[in-house]
Amino acid sequence: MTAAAPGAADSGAGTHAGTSEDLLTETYQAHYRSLLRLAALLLDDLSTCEDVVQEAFIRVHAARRRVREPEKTLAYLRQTVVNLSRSTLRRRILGLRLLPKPMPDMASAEEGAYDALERDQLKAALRGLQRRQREVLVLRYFVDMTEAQVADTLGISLGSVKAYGSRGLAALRIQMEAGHG
Amino acid sequence: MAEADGAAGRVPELSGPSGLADPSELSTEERALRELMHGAVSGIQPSAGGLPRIRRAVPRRRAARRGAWTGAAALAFVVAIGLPVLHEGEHLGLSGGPGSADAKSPAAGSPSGAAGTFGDGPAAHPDPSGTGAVTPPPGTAAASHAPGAGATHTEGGQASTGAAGAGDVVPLCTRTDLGEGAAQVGTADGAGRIYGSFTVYNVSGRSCRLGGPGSVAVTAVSGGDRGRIRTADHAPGDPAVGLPTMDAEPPVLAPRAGYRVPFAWVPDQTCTGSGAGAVPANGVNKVRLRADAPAAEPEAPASDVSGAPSANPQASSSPTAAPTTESSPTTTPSGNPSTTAPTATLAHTPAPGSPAAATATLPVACSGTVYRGGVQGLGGPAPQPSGSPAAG
Repeated sequence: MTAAAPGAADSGAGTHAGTSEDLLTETYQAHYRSLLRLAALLLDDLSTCEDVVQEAFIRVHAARRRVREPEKTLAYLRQTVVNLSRSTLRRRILGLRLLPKPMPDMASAEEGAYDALERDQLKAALRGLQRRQREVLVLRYFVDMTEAQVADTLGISLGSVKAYGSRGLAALRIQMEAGHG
Repeated sequence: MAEADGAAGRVPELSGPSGLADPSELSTEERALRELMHGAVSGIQPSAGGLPRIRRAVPRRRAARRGAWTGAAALAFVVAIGLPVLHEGEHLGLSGGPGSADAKSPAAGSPSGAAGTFGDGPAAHPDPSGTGAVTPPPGTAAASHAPGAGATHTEGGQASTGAAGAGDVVPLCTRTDLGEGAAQVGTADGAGRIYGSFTVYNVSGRSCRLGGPGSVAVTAVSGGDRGRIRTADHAPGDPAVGLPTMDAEPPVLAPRAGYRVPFAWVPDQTCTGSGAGAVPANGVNKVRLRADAPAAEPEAPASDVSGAPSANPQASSSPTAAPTTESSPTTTPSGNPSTTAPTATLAHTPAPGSPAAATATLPVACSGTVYRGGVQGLGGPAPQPSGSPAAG
């Protein structure tokens, strides 16, 4: 797989060779959904999540040197999703709302009311966190990154990750308990 | 600010799931949160159309990044033309109304689906409202039902195809999108110049943006050495005054719309003086065209060309027939005037790359230059004898 990528880089863009296409399909099938869910935890607006994840795919795959090392593609994708989620949030804060869009499919039928309630509660609680706290918690516990990996992805120190993580957990605990009570 | 650019240069060294943390080492509270997070988003499924949209956008983004017309480099003839590139493509992803746009409009490939939902496009958009982009495709589609409309090239078609591209997200044309290639070659004027053009149509059923001007190259020269035939892009000041300039924006091709690549053969001055007689300047530039044929074998179009000139040069045929200077067909430089008039085969390869869409054969009695002009959009369907839309 790695060996095929340089060939794609050499060929004309018009042909954008099959290697990268296959790689794109492969990556999409393997990671799109989990990245979409990652974005859903970072953003409060589900309709933006698809935008963010697709943009991440486009950016990463448009840069051939990033696709040339397939073992790093997922890491690039995650990092881009996190960054884009952040800038999307910032843009929203600035008031530049994206146009309303239909929501991604929610398989809500198979979920119990309690689950839905708890889900909404978690989402609300995550929304109440500081941005960095939310990012650390989501990467740490949803993506299952180690603290060092979170530090790399966010570009912050290991100590900051620990601090954001513990404070985030505490804040989340309070919010969830408040929600229950 | 840098963070907004997505993946920065640095990337975490993790090699997949095996490199991740082990959830079993988490505390009870952490594990509960982990479960909660996974449960919270477990119902979220990708909407349809995401992968196709990404697939369409990636090459376009690459083209924007590279800052060059894609595919144009396939042949050496098209060298570094200083052309404005699709810089506006950089922003198309986020705001382009992605999977959701596809979800809204079942016709996923249509430009209207993608054009309407821009949130933060720059002022460069010709139609920021996006609404204008919705109407042209039906318009051109309707036009394509009237075969007569197809023949009126240029502005009308250009306008409609251009409007279809008001959205940024029209995908680049792939080579298979383009077909019905043909060539038209006019008659030589008094100076031996011959104007002609290639036409290629979008046969895909969806709108697509032409990635570049494509190439026009000499693929074969019969009866003479190839070095005599030079090629060049038309530029102001050169002898090919009838050609459009090369700086045009690449057109967006609605379904059944096409584009034209004009060219001109200009024989050298020295040649016109002495041996111009061999230039069949009398309207007998019979041209062989073969749609979608690969570059030519050295066939015998010579018979097509050479048959007429000696027969009845000036008396009958063309009104453009050369005046007195070229009146002596006897002094042809090549020793065998009757059988093998030299010809050059031109091939146009569209921007996405091979194969060539059409070839044209020019009588080239002497050395000279083939100039090519800029791409012109054509609105209507291919003016082919069969009339109705072709399957391919």
